[in-house]
Amino acid sequence: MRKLFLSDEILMSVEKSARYIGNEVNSIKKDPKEVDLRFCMCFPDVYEIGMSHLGIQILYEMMNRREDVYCERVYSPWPDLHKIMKEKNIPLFALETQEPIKNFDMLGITLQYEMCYTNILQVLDLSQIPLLTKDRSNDDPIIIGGGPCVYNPEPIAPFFDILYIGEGETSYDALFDLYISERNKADYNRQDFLRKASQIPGLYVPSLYEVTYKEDGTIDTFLPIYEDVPKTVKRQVVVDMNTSAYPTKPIVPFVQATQDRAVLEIQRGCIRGCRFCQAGMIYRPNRERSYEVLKDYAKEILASTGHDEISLSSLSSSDYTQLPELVNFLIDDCCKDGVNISLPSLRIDAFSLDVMSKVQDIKKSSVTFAPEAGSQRMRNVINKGLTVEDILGGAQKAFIGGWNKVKLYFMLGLPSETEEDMKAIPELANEIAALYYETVPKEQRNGKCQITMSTSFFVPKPFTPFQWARMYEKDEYLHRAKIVNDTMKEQLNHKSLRYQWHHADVTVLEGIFARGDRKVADVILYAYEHGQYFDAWGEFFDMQNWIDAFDACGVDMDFYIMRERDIDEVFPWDFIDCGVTKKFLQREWLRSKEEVVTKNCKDQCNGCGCAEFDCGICLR
Amino acid sequence: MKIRLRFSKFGTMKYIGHLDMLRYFQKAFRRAKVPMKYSEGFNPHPIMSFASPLGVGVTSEGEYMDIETKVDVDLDAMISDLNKEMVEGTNVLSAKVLDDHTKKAMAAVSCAKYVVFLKKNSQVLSEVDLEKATREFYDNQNEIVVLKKTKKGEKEVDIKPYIFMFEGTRFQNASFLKDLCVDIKDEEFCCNDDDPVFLLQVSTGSNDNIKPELVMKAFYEYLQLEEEAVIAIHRVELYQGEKNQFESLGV
Repeated sequence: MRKLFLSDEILMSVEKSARYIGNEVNSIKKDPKEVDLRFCMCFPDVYEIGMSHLGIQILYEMMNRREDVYCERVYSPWPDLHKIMKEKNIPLFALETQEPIKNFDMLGITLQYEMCYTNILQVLDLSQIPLLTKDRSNDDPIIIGGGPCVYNPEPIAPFFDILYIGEGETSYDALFDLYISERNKADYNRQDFLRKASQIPGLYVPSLYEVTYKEDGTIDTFLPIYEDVPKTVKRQVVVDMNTSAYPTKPIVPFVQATQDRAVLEIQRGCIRGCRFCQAGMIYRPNRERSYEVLKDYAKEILASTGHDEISLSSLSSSDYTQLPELVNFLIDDCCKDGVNISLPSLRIDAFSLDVMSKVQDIKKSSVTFAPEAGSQRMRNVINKGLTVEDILGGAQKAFIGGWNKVKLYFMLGLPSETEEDMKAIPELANEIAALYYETVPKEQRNGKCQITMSTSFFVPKPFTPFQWARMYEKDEYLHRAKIVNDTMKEQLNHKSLRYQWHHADVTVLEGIFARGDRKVADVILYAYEHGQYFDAWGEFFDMQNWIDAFDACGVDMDFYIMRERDIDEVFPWDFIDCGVTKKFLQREWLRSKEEVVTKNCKDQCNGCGCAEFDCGICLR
Repeated sequence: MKIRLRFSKFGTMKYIGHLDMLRYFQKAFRRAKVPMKYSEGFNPHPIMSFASPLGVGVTSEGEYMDIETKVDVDLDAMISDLNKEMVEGTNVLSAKVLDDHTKKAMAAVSCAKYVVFLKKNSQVLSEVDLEKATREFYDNQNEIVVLKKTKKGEKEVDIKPYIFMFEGTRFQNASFLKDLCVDIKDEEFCCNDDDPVFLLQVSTGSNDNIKPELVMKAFYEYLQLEEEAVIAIHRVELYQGEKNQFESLGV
């Protein structure tokens, strides 16, 4: 019988102990003695969140296809267990073999959002691995980071031995081969291994680079300390989505994951080029997975998991070429015996409304638009190609089809935003409500319509045209939300409108981490050592602790938030060759100032630089 | 076809909560291609219900679930298909077809039998004559009053009418352990020859649900001994019917 690492006494004293026992359906069992390399994959948040992430399942599948590698998993222990492990000095362990991670060869941590940064340190600390790369010895695992946050890895650079820039499918084999051959040598030396690893495409070894700063605090030089270490690190891209690894037997958790369903990744990248959107830039070019392959995957995944729901994953499902065929296949062939289909991020038109009416209860569901900005001027600035006609036309079709709930997503704090732009948000919502009362005769109405606006505060991200933009202090964000709220109350149909806005504290911190440099790492370390972790969770986030940490480390928050960057400023992430060139981003930044829109990749190539990857939409 | 399944839950699966078990079985039925009958509507769910939720940390070899299939199935083939889709720690043990008039297990269940083990190396009861003490506690007392938590706070309740059997003995003399399906030697509560072990039968179901922990607490209080923190509980069987005429829910 399987033995667990934690005692029965501990497991019975913590919440949801099933998070820590492993043994889930489709989890991989291997004899660790039979492999050459033990890898532990970590999502630094609680189990239910981490288990919902497709990327880890892809890499878990891919790595475990190698007979000489055993990839296991670990997630952040919830604070109740964290405290017990610290108190009793219990090391963090992997779910599959229930063995301490400190005995593994490698620990890979995926970085999906900035607010998990303190949890990186939590995982290292509980694993009893030194927090800083410079303090690690030959016997410590190699700590590797990956995911979208590594497009500016500098605020966390000192915590990692390697940061993998790009899609994981391409370079892990080379890294594993190198490690296995180096580790078997009698004179294995961690530093020599890392230096060799830095020559594998996509791998950034932060300890091999030195940064110097100008007097104003911006970067002067960013250079490798040895000649054989590359000056730039090239983002890794999967060229053929039809042959790359995909988990057709994904793990089925016991504890209900946030996303408890089968997932079909239909494409990577997006053709749209919205100027605020990092995903729209860093996953270029748009690459579709073929309809034939997806059909097989859907059947296999449903059969191997027993999931009762299947969902499509992509940045913009409506842009997938064969979407009608795929959706009809799912409805006709998969959606029987109680299997549901969930369709995220669809553009609202006749086709999507027809599909939605087949798979959802119209009375309970809502239609969703993401105009991101209220005024057409602002939508031109951000290059969101959605017009007021698109929105009203879609909403009218939905109202005729029987829907009476509409959700609208916006951002506040976008570059050049004026009070008119803010007021345009509730005005647009009011217009939609008015349209409902015009369109649907009184006797056919199912009560009032319900138009819900949500705003988040805009955070400029690296490798976007808005990477030069300034941010604002907390009070300014709240002031803007108040303008929206007050204007909503003045609207004729205000009783049909609802408004929700996000917390502003987290926005400010997220902004600092997103575009921070190595100096910010001291602050993160200080904050963790003074009790901050699980910052992505409202109940554990404490802004005062962070303000104290910045003060204690002598790091000025305003330097990162309040400054619009000079067009030629050297950014901490400039050493990454992302495919999308800085020249293209500069051009897009200037065009946004002129309120000029740029066409999507299907209509016209705009020369962003990603054509050199020679795949996907760029071949058309 | 209406079917009642009996299954076991042991090892690491004892940490899986009731709702997670429900989802686990729903998915296992789909993987095993059992032609379940589904409810109507936009979110159809398979028709299935457990007899009695099992607490987290409790193992069992007497779990029951009623299901309904769209078409008639071969029970032995279904059991074998299901067990291929189960992870270590859950096993479908048997199944029987129910006629249309059979009360649902959830409504019928009235009593449960448990074995209670103490944690390894427990000393508190080492000097106690268990056979005698349990007899005195259960047979000689007219009422067994405990403080029970309710929605409004705590209140005194006499639980004696809801306890149908309470025996204590030493491991080496516990003949009832020989009949258990689950190999208790594998479990963490594995006992030495002279460690205490208890057999209980208590009221179970939507009314008057008595947990074995509550009886043990009353027992320690009766002996004026300090209660031990960790005990392991194993559910042996579920019954329907009235006192003195209990019959197994299963096959």
